[in-house]
Order: sequence, then structure tokens, then C-alpha cells
Amino acid sequence: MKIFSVRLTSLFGLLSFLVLFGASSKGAFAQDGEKLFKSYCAACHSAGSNMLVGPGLAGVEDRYDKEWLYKWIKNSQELVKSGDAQAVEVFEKYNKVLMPAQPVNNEEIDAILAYVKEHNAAKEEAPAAAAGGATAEMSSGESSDSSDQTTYIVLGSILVLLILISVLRKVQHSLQIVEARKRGEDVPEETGMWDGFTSWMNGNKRIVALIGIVLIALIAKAGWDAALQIGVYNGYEPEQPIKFSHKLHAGDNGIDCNYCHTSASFSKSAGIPSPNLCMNCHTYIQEGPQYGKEEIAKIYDALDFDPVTKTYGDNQKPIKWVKVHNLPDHVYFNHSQHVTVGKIACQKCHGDVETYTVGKQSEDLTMGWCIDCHRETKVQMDGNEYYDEIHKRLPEDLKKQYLEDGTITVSELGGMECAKCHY
Amino acid sequence: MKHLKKTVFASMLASVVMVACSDPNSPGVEFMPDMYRSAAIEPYVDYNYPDSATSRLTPENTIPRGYKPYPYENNDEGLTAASENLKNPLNLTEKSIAEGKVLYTSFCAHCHGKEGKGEGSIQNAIYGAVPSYLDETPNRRLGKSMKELTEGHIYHTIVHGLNAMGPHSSLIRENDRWKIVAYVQTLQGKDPLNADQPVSEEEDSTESEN
Repeated sequence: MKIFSVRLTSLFGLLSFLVLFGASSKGAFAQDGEKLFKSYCAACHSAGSNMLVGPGLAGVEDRYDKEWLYKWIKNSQELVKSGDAQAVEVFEKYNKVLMPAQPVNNEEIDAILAYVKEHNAAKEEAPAAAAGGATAEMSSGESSDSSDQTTYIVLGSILVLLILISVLRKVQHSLQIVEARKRGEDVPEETGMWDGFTSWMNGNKRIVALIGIVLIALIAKAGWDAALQIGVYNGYEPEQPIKFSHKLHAGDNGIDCNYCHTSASFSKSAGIPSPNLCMNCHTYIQEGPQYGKEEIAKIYDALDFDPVTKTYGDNQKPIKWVKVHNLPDHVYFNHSQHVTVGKIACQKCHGDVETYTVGKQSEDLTMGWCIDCHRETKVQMDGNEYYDEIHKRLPEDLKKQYLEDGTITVSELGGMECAKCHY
Repeated sequence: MKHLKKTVFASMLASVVMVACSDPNSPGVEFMPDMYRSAAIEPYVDYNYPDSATSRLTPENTIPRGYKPYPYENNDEGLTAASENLKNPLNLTEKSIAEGKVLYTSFCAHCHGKEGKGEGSIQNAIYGAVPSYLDETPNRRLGKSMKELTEGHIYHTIVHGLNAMGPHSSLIRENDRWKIVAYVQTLQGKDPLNADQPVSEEEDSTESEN
């Protein structure tokens, strides 16, 4: 019955939606308004109620007289100068930022206002749907750790097998008792699982030896692998103070890596952006699609920023990001050398960062890993006159040694010299 | 003896469990920390300063090497003055415009669009209405259209930001800003190489200062 009533309401909603958009010509009118709004207003005003450069336009028709709005939009500066009381009040209220005169006529203003109205009517219905979407996305993010799950499944099934064996032994034992009673023999004593195991081992020494050898080999292999992982932090994925998602910023929104990691192209370190860079967008984008206002509020907290008045306070504190990629102290690495000179893509060493929701190390960053790349990577020499000249002057025997295959790798240019990286 | 075997078996099982449930917040087993951890200060490592900041603020009244003060303030008067008086100090070449394009792609294209038509990849309504550089409607700040913005106006906007755009002076170095300005002028349909501009040969000297 409940399902039926839900269906009925959704059907009703769909019908009213159709009536609203099908029957009124206002729909098309407001669509023009959307275009006009975007080209004339949206750089400074939101269609909702939040303040950007100027106030949000929701309910603007209720606040001001329409004739006055026409005048204000067409030339607000003149209106303020003429001493119109309401115009002066609005100008003072919103930080005395002048609104440029807009070359629009009354009909276009009507269309814009109609769009704003429709936008806010549609918005009231949207939050419920948006909330549903958000929870679905969050739960899918949590179930990503499949390797951990496999371990639990294996351990769980071992436990179940052990219980099953002990139960079966109990059953076997009670059957033996029944059998013995039938024959009038003595009731056999119940042997423990461990005793049964040892007596089986005593009886099958060859198999035990074989299994033993295989087991020891496996353990040795696992130990060897574990020893090779010492100091290798591939997969390190620490929790960060703010749930910043590279997928959202670099992937979905297509922001270039260099926008935030500005110094990668000219400095040793790629740089963690300071919060002032976040504020280039987040002064106005105060709500994210995944965690809402919660995570963005942490930037505001660090900067002591008031998102309503858009002013900064004095109580600022650093954000404690956790460093993920740590190279040992005894090796020198320079980002600009690889990014600008070598033209290596960020993803080559950092993996597909634009798909990560949490920052992680995706390569070993061991010396063997560095050297493999130095051996294979060809130096891009096209259009570099310096190398053309060098190759011309190269003695014949060296020419044969280095240029015969037509390519020059990093290692042939000295990229394997110890002192290149260790000094 | 029997007891011993059981203990060995149990401890083996326990070690398997412990290896399996490794903590993602710990990088793993460290070998010779004294070779790994730098005695000298490295960026973004917590050295337990009271405020835990490794990137320290400079003492008051210090300026970076090669710093040139920017005389125009972040208001409409500053913008007017900059758009009238500020000229590109670089000796522009095809190459600097090509570099400007690369920088534009990194720093501007996600909002202003790859071709400057305002259709960037940012999926937020606030940044979904960035005007095209070819727009001739005179409805921007100071009553200008996007197409007629001067180089000084564009430079001032990069330094201080305007409307919903934030200031980009901390991200983009001075010469790079001018290269971007030159590329944006090509997006406006202008030819910055053939505009009459005062030519100075400062490019090489200012390049190394940043």
C-alpha cells in the first residue's frame, strides 16, 4: 500500500511538472532569461540568495519596485548620483561596489527576472534529490578496499572450516559410540583434534615432509618480499586534515596540476598550495558536491574567514597536510628538471592523480625505479640547437657508441652517474 | 612440547593477521631513519614547531629578490589608471606568445575556456558564465567590453582579480603574467606583436630574478 501511495505522489508530481512546462509559454521565456542572465549578470550575481560580488537575485522582484529595477539595471551609477534614496541605500549596503550600466531593454530584464524566479522555484524541489545522490556516492567510496576484504574472506573461511571439522569429528565420534554399543564393545575414548592431527602426521611422514618443504619455501618467499618492501611506501594513502579530492578538482573540473602546484615547473619542490589559492574559487564556491559545506569550512577556519561578510580575521593557522611522497635525505630530486626540461607528465611518477579521492603514492620511488626510467627515457632534442652543435662536434668513436641507434637516453647523457643524485 | 607447537601455530596466524591489516596512515617499515630523514629542513615535513608550519612567514618588511612593487591599488581608480598607463615591458616574440598559451592553458583555461570563449571545465554555476574575450557588449567594469580591454586592464585583473575571479599574483610570476596577457590579446582578435608598444630589452634580466 505504501509503495502504491509513493507511486501516486510521484505520478502527481510528474503531471504537475508537465502542466507547468507544457501549458505556459513562460518556460521558453525564462530560457532566454537564462542566457541573458549568464551573459549580463552571472559574473557578479547568483540566481540564488547567496552573495557573490553583488547580492543574490532571489526574490529581487519582491524587494524592489519593477520600474525602479529597470532604471537601476540600465544605469545604477546615474541613479545613485541623482540622489535616489533607495539607490544610495543599496549602494551603501553592498560595500559601495559600482554596478556597471547594462545595455538591456525592459523586455530582457523581464526575461531575466522570470528566469531568476523559475530557478528558485526549481531549487526548492532539488535538495531532496541531491541529498540522496550524495549518500550513494559516499557509500560507494567506502567500499573500495577490496584487498582487505579478500583477507577477511580467507581468514573467515579457514575459521568456518575448522569449526566444520570439529563438528564432523564430534559426529563421527558419536557414530562410533553407537556402533560400539551395537557390537557390545567398549565405548572408544574421544581423541582431541590436535591428537588426531599428530597421529595422522606420524602415519604419513612423507606427505608431512613435502608439505613442510612447500610451507617453508612459501614463508621464505613471503619474508623475502616483505624485506624488499622495507622503506618502500608504495600505496601510502594517509588521511588528510581536509578531504580534498583530486578527482573532483583535477578530474571532473579539469583544473591543470600546475594551477595549484605552481612551483613544479621552476623549483625543486612542486609545492602544496597555500589556502589563499583555494580562496580564488572558494571565496564564492562555499558548498561542495560531496561533503557540502563541512570540508570547505575547514579552509575558512584555517584562514579565519567569514563566508558571509567575506572578511579575514587575525586568528589564522596552518593546515597540517600530511606529506605523502618522501624521498630519502641522501638523494637529490628536482621537479623543474623533470617537468620543464624533461617534459615528463606528472602522471608518470604520481599515477592517475585525477582519479584519486585521497592522495596516495602510486610508484615505488626506489633507486631501481628511478634508474629504469633513466635507462628507457629518450631525451627530447628536437629544436634544441645546443645538442645539434654538440653532436656535430662529437668524435667518430663516440658518435658510433651513442648515436648509432638514433636515440639518446637519459643514462647516455650521464643520468646514471652516482653524483647526479647522490652528493 | 604439545603446548609449544600450539603457540607457534597461533603466533604464525597472528602475524598473518597483523600483516593483512596494515594501517593506511602509516607509510610502512622504515629502514635506517637517519639516512632517510633530513637534518636540514625540507619542505612540508612537520618539525614540531609550536604552530607546525614548515613554510615560515618571512620577517616583516622583507621582499623577495627582484620584487617590483605594483603601484595600482585594488579598486576602480587603480583599475582605470592601470588600464590607461600600464604597458607590457616584454620584448614580445612568437615564442613568448607560445609560452603564454601554455601558461594560459594551465592557469586560465579551466574558467575562461581553451579558446577564451568562457566555456571552461569548471562545473559550478558561479564560474559557468565567464564572458568571452570576443564579447563586444560594453557591460564590464568601467563600462568596457571584453574585446576592448587593454593590456594594463588584463594585467591588473590577473594581479588583483575582478568580480568572481580571485587574485593570481601569488601563482603566476611577473613575466609569465605578461606572456599570458599577450596570448589573451590574440584571443581578443588582436595582434600584440604588431601593436605599437615601447620596446625594452629587459626580458632576460627580469627572467632570472623570479
